[in-house]
Amino acid sequence: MSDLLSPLQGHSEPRVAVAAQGEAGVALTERRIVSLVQVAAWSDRLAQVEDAVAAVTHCTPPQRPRGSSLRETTTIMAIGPGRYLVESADPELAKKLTAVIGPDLGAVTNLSQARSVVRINGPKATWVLSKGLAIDLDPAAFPPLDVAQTAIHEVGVLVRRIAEDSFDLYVFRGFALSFWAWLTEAAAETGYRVDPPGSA
Amino acid sequence: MSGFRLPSCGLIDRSRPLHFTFDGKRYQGFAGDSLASALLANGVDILGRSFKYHRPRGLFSAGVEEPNAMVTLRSSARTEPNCKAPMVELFEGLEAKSQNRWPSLGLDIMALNGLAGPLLSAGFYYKTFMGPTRKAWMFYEHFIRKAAGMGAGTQLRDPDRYEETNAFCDVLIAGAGPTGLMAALAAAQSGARIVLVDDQAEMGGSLRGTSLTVGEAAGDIWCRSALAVLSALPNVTLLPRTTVYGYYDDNTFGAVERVSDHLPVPPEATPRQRHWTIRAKQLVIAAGAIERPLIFAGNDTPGVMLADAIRIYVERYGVSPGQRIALFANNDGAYRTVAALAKAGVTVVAVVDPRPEIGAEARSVVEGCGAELLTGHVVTRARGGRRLAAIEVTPYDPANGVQDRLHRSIPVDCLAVSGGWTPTIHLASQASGPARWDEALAAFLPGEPTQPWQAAGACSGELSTAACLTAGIQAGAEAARACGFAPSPISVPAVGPEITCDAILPLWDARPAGGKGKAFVDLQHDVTASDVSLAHREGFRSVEHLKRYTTLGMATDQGKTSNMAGLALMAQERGLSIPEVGTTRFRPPYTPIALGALAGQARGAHFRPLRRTPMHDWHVAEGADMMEVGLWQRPRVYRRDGETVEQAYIREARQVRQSVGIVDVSTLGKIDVQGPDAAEFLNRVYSNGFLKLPEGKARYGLMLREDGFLWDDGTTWRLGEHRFLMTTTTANAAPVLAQLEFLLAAVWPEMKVAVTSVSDQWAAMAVSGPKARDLLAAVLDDIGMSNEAFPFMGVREGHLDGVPVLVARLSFSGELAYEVYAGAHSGEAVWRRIMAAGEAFDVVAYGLEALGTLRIEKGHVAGPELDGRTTAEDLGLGGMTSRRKDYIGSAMMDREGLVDDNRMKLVGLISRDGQPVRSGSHLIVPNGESPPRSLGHVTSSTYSPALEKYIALGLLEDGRNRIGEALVATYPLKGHNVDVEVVSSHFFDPEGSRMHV
Repeated sequence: MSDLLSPLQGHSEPRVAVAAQGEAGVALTERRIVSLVQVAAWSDRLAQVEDAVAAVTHCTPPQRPRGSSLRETTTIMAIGPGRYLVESADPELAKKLTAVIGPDLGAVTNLSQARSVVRINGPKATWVLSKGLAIDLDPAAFPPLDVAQTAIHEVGVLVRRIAEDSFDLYVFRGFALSFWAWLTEAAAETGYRVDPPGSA
Repeated sequence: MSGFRLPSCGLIDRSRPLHFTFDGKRYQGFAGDSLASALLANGVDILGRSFKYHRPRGLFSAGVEEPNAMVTLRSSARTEPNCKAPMVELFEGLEAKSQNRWPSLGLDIMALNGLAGPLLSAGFYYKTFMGPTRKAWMFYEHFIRKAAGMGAGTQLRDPDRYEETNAFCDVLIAGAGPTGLMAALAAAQSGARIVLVDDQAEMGGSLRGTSLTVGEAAGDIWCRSALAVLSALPNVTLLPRTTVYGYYDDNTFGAVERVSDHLPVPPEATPRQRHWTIRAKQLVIAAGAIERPLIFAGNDTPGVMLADAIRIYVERYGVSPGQRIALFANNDGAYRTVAALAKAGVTVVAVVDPRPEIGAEARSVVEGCGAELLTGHVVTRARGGRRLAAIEVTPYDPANGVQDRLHRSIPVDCLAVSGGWTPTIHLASQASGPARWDEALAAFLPGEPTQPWQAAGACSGELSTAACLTAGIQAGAEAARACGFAPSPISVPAVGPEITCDAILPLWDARPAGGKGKAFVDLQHDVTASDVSLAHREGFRSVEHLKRYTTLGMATDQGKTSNMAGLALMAQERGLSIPEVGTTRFRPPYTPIALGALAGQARGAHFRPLRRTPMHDWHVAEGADMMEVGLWQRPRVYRRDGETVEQAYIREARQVRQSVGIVDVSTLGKIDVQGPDAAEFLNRVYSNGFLKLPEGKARYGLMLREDGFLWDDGTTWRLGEHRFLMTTTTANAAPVLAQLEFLLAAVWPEMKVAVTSVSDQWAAMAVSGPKARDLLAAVLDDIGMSNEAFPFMGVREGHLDGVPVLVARLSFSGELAYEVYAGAHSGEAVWRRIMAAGEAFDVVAYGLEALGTLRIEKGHVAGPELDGRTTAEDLGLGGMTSRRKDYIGSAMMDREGLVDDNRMKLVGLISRDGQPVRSGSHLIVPNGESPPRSLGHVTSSTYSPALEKYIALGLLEDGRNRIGEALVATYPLKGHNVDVEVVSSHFFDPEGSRMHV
């Protein structure tokens, strides 16, 4: 059957929308999630769950609230006490995690098609995001690899800082297009470029 | 004579002329001019008419405090009324119009109000239109509304964009005059993050254009080099053209940046204004002070201006507001204006000062310019209609007051007035205790902070530049220290000799006893000194009453030039001191804010975010009428050519019962419930049993609120021993999840259960109708579809064209029906596949209307019945409230009021006369008492193709015992009455034979 259909299909294709200054202040890219899985550990089984996650992904879960860890194509984000979002390029991730994390340890939920991710990067990334994000984006307050669960324009969003000028924005799939429209409008002032979906 | 451009001086760029119009007439100004300075330079005397009496008014100030010169800018959709001319930066092609006049500024018919003055005094509206003559208001309102108000806005859509943004910093500094600049320099070098905000295009405040030397250089040059230092620092954000208008909890501030107001049209994609929400650890208020006027007859005559404003027009804009100028002041500071005028070569005729003695520097300034110095005198009257012609001066001494018989007249065309300075405590008063009275300054100073701020400079009573610089350093360093930084000391630049504002004589009212003529306290709201006396005589003596009765200080200028005088007059009337009388508190905003700035991007398509299902594009491409359901976009009907909505849903619903239909149900809430205690958890949140639900089966469940009322319903599917998929109604998807999370976190933290929203993970569609099984059998790869292999309420996992799907045999329509869940990204493909295969089965896509029709025919409840006031028993679902276990709501559901036999119960209603029954109609007895008593109401209604009648569901008192009765469904707002018969709510196939095949 046909390929998976992104909610941004027809909207996130490459283009350039430069502002009066003639520069694209940010680049926007729809990232394509292969696997996104939530892992919840029972409070007395956290260590075993972390070991299990590390064993499957070869990536150690972050050891502090709001943190994330990264190894090759795997990212693990701390989204609550004993809760992680694991993203990976392994299409079998949910199955593998379910196999090692049984009901005695915690719960594994596949969310691979429940979120859309947009990467924003460029010198004006924090300026554009500040139009909707009521969190302090100073690198001292929100350093790379930190994640924040907040809202932009009433849309729930999980923000992960990749680098000083680069962020991944995870939104609920149903809101993806509305969020994309907001984001491109917010970025119009400083100009933006859309890179091919899946290229980030 | 009127104002004119001085041959030199000022910060304007004389090489860049700019053209503009005022009331259609063309004028020229220069880059760097404000609209006010340009009009002044062109000799325009009258800039507006006053609010109530329509008196001619000229320019009064040089800043946000301007009470007179309010103009309408631009035209058509960009029309913006009530702009303060001193705050409008001149640009090429600027279009300005005067306000509050008809037919023209020169001839204003409403000026007759001036003759009717005594009628329009304080409390005019209350006295005329309230009490016994209340009905008169109905008659007069139209005329009054037409005459009242200032400029008129536009009904056209604002073509400009507005944005909002957020900023975080250690120290926010409001005001970039000498104090604010110095505070920024002192704090910034410590590394603290600074945001420095100023409402002018160029920062520097009183230093701009000043003749004072600061450090080694002229004040203006020092100021520019300080700004160069600050703008080069990465930890400093400079926000010119920005006003911090409000102080909110947790040191959060609202500010508006006028990004493009100084341009004819905002550049593409650039907002007109930007709203800043600033969160700062510390605030330094360096807001300065506003000069206050003095009260005498005719003090609103064009040509009477604030003294320091005149200095600013001369020094900053190179404009003199007149040729023969006098000063009337009660403090030394105002003599700086005399010095500036003398330096520019403008004639100062006389200086009138009520004090017997003035400071030495002030005296030498007057002597140096040859003006007549009249100490121990006051101005009692300004003469002239459309322009000041003369002032009357009279001897004054504090003991005997004004001796009017000795008055003499001095011809002047401009009078500078100064009654001292009012510190700008607005922001401080939004986060402080009561303002403190300072006797020496005769002014209120900021009270005790209730949030981390400090006030410095003029707004804290420091009225000399040198003192402001020192105070700025101190405040900046202290604020940085409070944020954990270690600022190193910086030195205070030396300031050249300046006349300070000491030695004020608090004279408020220079009217002689029994003197005639209007003496204004509040220029913008046309409140006179005698209005204050009248308020006192009529018993409105508290400052709060004074304010509301006379509207003193309630204009858009918030009484920036009038409040103090009003308080002083009331204090005088009551024989009390000003601090005893007290002051009102300032509320945000400091200056008016465009609603666009508050709305930001949240307008039009972005008013709210939209939520789309995975099959959204298909619905739109098929021409569905989309409707908003909460944030969701859902197909209402798929209309074919020429069909009405009703025709379309009847066709769709009929086809479902005849062959098969498909409907998008992706909006249902879907919650993944997992864990060893999941079954027990569900058993506690649902009113019916869930412990024994076998794997591979679904069950319809009811949830009650803790208070025993019915809350939500839906099916929950057992996918494994410890794994369930719960569905909720669309509306309650988020609240149910929140409730489950709350229960697990706070009530039963020991339960090993995880709940996660998977609403967006799944595309969901219901396939219903006699041919549903055949259709799905044709497309599913690996799920046996026979009644035995896949029984009612069964749940199966399998594939559809290779796509993993979950299929549950559930029916909302009463037909043989299945819900098919596929990964969201595959939703549209699965839908298309079913539609394509469905052609052979006469498949139809149906929308919300037909969905409603089918469920009403079956008597299934939905949102309109689950309205928060009904119990399970009310809706005929009492059998689902278990008596054998405890669950949320069980303790409260048997309360007396909830089990009363007379409660409204769910019934069916059939229209007896072929008319549709309107939802919301009340159910009454035909030909009964008048007015009739409502026995209940209609909750949902539709045309039933199965019954070929209009039918409805309703809630009716003792409804189950009224089956067969004839009632009337009445909708008085529309005059709509329909005869209905009460029937069972199970209109169609009550045995359920169609879905169990």
